[in-house]
Amino acid sequence: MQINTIKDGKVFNLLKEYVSFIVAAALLAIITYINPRFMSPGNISNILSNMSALLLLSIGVTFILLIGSIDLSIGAMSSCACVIFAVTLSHIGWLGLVSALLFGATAGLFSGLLYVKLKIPSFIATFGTMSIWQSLALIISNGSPQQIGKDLWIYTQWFKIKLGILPLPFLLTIIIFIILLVVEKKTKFGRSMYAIGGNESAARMAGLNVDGTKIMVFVLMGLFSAAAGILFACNLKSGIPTVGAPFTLTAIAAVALGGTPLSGGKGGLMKTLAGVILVILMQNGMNVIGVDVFWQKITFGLIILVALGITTDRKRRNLVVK
Amino acid sequence: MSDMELFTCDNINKRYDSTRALQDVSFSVKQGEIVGLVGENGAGKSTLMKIMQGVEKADTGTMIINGKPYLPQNPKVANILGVGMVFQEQSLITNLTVAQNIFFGDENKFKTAGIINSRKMNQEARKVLDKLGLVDMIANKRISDIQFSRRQMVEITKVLCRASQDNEGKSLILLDEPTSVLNADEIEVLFEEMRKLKKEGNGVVFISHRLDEIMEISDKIVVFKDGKCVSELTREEATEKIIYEKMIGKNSADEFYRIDKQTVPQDSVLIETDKLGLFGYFKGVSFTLRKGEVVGLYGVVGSGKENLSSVLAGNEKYTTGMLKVSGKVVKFSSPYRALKARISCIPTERRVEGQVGIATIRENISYSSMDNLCSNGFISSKKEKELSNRWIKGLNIKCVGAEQLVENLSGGNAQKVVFARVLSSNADVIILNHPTRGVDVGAKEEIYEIIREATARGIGIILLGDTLDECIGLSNKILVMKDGIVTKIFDAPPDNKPNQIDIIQVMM
Repeated sequence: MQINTIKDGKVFNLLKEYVSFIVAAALLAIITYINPRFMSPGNISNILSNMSALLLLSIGVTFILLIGSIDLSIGAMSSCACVIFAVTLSHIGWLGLVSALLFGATAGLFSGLLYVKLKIPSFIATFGTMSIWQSLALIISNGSPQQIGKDLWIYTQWFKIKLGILPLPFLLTIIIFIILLVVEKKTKFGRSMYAIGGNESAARMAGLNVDGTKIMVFVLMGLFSAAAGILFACNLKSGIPTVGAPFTLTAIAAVALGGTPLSGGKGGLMKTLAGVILVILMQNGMNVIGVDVFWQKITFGLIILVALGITTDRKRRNLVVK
Repeated sequence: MSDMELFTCDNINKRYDSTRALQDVSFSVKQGEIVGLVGENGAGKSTLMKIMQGVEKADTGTMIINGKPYLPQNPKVANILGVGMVFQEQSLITNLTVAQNIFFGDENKFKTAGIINSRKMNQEARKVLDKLGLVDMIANKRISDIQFSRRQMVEITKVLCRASQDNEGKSLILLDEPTSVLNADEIEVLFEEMRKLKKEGNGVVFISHRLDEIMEISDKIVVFKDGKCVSELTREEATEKIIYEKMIGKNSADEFYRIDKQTVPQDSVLIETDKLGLFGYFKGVSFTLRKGEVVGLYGVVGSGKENLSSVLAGNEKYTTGMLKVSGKVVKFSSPYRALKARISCIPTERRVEGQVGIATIRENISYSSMDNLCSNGFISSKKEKELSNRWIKGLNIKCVGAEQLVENLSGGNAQKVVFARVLSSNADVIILNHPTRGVDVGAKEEIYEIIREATARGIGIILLGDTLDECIGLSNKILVMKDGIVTKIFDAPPDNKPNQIDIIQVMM
């Protein structure tokens, strides 16, 4: 039975697809109107630089949500990678980068195996691994930030390079984003993610490699978390064991805000890009306008609720993460 | 049995999307009459029951009970007006007692100041149970402590109680396949109860697939086929043979299943099993599937046929014996591995595990052909579009276009999308689980045509037919299963198809 209401109209559906971009544009206009200094080259570079880490994390989270799971250990993994990078720099130089990424991949693999092979629901599995990596970060760093000494700054200076107003980290992130956008749309792996999120049993019976895809998604999440951790370290010139903590929910919020539902099967990286832009605009914009920090958090929370409320797919009851 | 009409329905029509579930059905039950209702799955029996019970509304037509017009908005109203139904899967709440179940929903009768007077409830229950002759049923015993078959009696008591409450008239009791869970003794007890109901002047409608039961207990037998009431027989007139013929329609069986197109299997063996077994479900299954052959699996639910098909599809790992595919011994750990061995399957529950509803037709068709559509790791949009357009045309899938979401298609067309997925995967072996379930007659014929074409191309098919007739009509060979073993393998060449009766005898 198809009930035709205004909600099913073609125009409304088209709007729904791009609503996040439209809202982001509107928000940008409003903020700039209130404070024109927002669009100054210096501020833009700043914003783009800050956006890189969140965007990297959000790419990973997009895939996690697409298959209908969740990862609560994102922040902990990036904190741990941040600390590992900072601490190993003095011992093995550029290999410190590799060790941080290796950690990320392994941590992701661990979560993935718990989820796929031991069939522990991802919420619970990553709740557990979150504690493990957070503790590991504190252990490695002895509980306090590990400064990256001036003699090691050659490893972090690339963070400051700019091409015009575009910071290098941002450019690298965008390149990674484009690569993964192609993967999402044009590879068997990408198609499998959508199928698994849409109907896992059907994807399995159709002969898709469900287990393999899921594990790969978690490994990628680990890698992206580590990459974000490295960016944190280069930006702050130290390994801070709690740096990533607030980013877990922010990243998930950005992806959900962009239009990828928690139930999976729909959405994607383009939507996430809009969501990340929105979140960054909200955070930076409220700073520039001069909103009190605590009010910022309240506003942030309210906006997320409204956005999720509008975009939630009400027909699908299995919203609770698997 | 008096001559007074208890219940009549006239020209009932009911449509679900494009399927006509009931067409101009007229049917009546007299006071003190037991009517047996027979027909294949999908013939319309359950739909009519749902309408009589207030679960669904008819599109057109009228109903009368106890001389008054009858249009129940929901089952509770139906009960008040005198119609009650006992479901196949019981509706009792197992951690409550007999009395609590009988009066479930009517507790207000026993409430004083918000507290239920259990003693009074148990006394009332005792009265009702005695009236039905169930003297040894204890009113405050938990359902979970009562044998499964005895629960049926509680179910009937509950329904009777509700249905005859505020009613000066008689009640109509509907029984939907109550005997499938009972043994011979229990069935006799049930029949005794039914005779008692009959003596009191109530009416009973009894649905069953077991023709011997129907013939034993019914005063009148009504046959449903394709949504129509095709025949009414008295007990004296009816024989099993006549009922079957009316149920299936003897004239067109051959044409319907395209028996003339049944291919002779080639020599090359696709699948060979040797004493294959899955612990707890089936064992000792040995058979071969050749190119161009259709092997049918038939048996009652729980006979092991679903599990055998599951093992062949890679959904479950077998525990004993051996499975060889194209000469190589295999043990699949997932359908992913089975597809690599060129085995693909159409699952039973399409919505649950056959289709990804929120994905498009094009995407659904491509899922099993990913490797063929990729060059250098990237999916070729051109090849993919070509593939979906070809199959939409070839299978006559009614849709707005390849980008339509599968969840918006009708059952028959969604099933065709699943067929397209499986056939385009270049699998050598296709396992069909009830491929025509929920599909209307027109689409069924198209699907049979598809099956014949596939075998002509050398594909081997394992078929779990929806009906015995379908199984016989389509297969070259039929494996009949019972309690986990293959009891007999029937040869079914086009010119010498086995009789339904022969197969059913080996199946029960």
